[in-house]
Amino acid sequence: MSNEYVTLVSSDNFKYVVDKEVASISTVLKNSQGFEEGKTGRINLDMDGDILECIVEYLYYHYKYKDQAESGDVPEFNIPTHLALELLVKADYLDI
Amino acid sequence: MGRRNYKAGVKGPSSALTEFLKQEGITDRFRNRREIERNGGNQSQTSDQENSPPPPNQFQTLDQQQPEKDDDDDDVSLDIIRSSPTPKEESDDEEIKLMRKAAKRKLKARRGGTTRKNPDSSDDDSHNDLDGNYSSDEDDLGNANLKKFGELDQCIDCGKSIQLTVYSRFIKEKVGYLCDECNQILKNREKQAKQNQLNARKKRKRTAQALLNKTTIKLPKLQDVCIKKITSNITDVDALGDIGQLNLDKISMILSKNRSLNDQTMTLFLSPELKSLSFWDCSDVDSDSLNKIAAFCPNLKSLTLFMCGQLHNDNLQYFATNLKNLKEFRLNGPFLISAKMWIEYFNIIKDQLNKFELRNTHRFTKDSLTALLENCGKKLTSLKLSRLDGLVDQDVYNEVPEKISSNSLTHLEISYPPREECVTDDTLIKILEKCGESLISLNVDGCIGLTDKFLIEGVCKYCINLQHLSMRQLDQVTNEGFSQAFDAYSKINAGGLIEVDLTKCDDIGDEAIYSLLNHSSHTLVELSINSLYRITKDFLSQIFIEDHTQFKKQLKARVEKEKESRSQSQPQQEGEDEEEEEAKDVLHYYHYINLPLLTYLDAGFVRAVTNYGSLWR
Repeated sequence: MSNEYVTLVSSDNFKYVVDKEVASISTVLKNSQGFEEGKTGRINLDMDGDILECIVEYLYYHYKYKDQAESGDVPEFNIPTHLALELLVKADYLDI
Repeated sequence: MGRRNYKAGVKGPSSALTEFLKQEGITDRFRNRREIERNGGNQSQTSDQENSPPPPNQFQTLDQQQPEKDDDDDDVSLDIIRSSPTPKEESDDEEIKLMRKAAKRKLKARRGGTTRKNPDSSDDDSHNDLDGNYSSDEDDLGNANLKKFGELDQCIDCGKSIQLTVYSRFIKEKVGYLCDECNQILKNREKQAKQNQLNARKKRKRTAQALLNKTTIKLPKLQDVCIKKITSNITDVDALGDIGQLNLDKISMILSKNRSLNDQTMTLFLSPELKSLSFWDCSDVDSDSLNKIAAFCPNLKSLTLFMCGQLHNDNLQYFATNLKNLKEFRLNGPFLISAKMWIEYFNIIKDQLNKFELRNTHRFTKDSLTALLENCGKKLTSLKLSRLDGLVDQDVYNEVPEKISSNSLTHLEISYPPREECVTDDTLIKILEKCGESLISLNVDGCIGLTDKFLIEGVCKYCINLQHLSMRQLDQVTNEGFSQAFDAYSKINAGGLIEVDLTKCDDIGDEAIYSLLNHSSHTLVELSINSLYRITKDFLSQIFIEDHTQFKKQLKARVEKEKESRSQSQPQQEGEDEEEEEAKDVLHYYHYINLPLLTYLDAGFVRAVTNYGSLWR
């Protein structure tokens, strides 16, 4: 499982190759694997490259620190202010 | 011997436990009281011997296992009820024995672990003096096949031969010694266990602390991160960037969903040109902030406030005077608005509103409804009243048809009245007579007083343009009635329904659904048949199998054959829509029904579907 990857593609054609296990943090991305996206390994997302970059960063942040959350020493995840609103909409869509 | 000393009230040296119990005020009075209760009336006699304080200076050696008794003597003056000496002595006796036994066991264990003594050592002798009952205990020790220090032994774990020393580790469970290496391993393991225990305790503590501080120690969701960022930059409009009205509505929904719409975040949405505003969860928005809506957005045409428990009379009054263009007003849960204020509000705004929706308040009374209808009735195109527990009178909605103008209402909802009598067939038929022609959507969820009559004489007679019908929990609507109504309905409503919700209409079964689908199959987009347990597997499988298949052809032939044979003995029945009054084993034939637009189907709790879910395509 851990060496499988999916490609997340933004609307302006930026591609992010992400570990499947990491992408599965988002239930939406996880469930898309049951459909055509599962065969092609490519998920087209309706968001700009900079937004998607933040999202991929968050997914890895979540993956890295999910076990340490309880010990409390997790660094804060920072997002650029000007993307906050749009990111909120997309994060809601991805359920993360 | 010991008991005699005790009777004289002499104290021996007390153990740490006894000392502790004494300090904490824990005595054996409880045990005494229980004893008294067990012995019923005996307690009437009190013993002088016990009630008199003990002579202080009489000292005698007392065995160490007895100190618990000391408490008793200390408490004598405090005790109100005393047992008669006989039962008490007995219980004490047992107690002492038990304690001695326990102490002996402990001693034995200790001795086994550290030193290698002969079981019958001098230590025990003293105890044996007091009581001879322990011999059995002593025997256990004697049986252990143990060696003395300096002798050779085998490690109980690895079997290596070792020379015993005082430091050799004795394992009680296995009755034997460990070699140094095995001991080291065990020690490490114990250390690790202790560490884990400590960590677990730390974690528990932190969780408890977090609970007290109302914080969570989970990794924040990206949404939380965004909301935090937005909140901290709420005053700096430019920094957050322009996002467009459509997305703002979406963000309002997301904030409501995350329950983070509050006094700060709500200001994000206020702008003077705003025409429409929807807050789906205002529970954290206080009264002052609600006033801001009217102050900052005077041009609002449509306002939706759900869960607005903090909406006060003052707010509504302010809305009435400031929102001069408001046409659509939807409120859910404004339970602080008084009946009087509602009347006042409608008198101020006159006929300004044309869409009004109100849910979940008990303060909206008959007079409020009258005020609403008198002022806005003529212009209303949408009226939705749900769970208004203040409208309790019988046929309280009788005023509605009188006050609304004919055929202007397009959306009507009267749902979940507090009592069955509030909405009756006659009331609803009168309303439908007045506005049925224009009605697009009708919702009578939970009006359990309604029967077949409202469908046959109301909906199917007047509602020629109806598209959405919701009638949850109408358990008085029968299978036959519904079927009859929809067979007739196709004559006046050719368009067909788009959304139908029949959740929990208990009596509805195959025939009713068949009639409904015959009428609306080509337009139906959403259908709920949740909890309609009468729907059968045969029905569902037949309507989804195309007519030209072998199976359906054979079935049709068989059904017709049976019908022929039956018609010889019984009067003629109508072909496909046979009533269920027939015997159970009668075959039914249902033709194939195509549902080209159906996108949402709620078939929860329909047994035929839960068992044969694969039939649905």
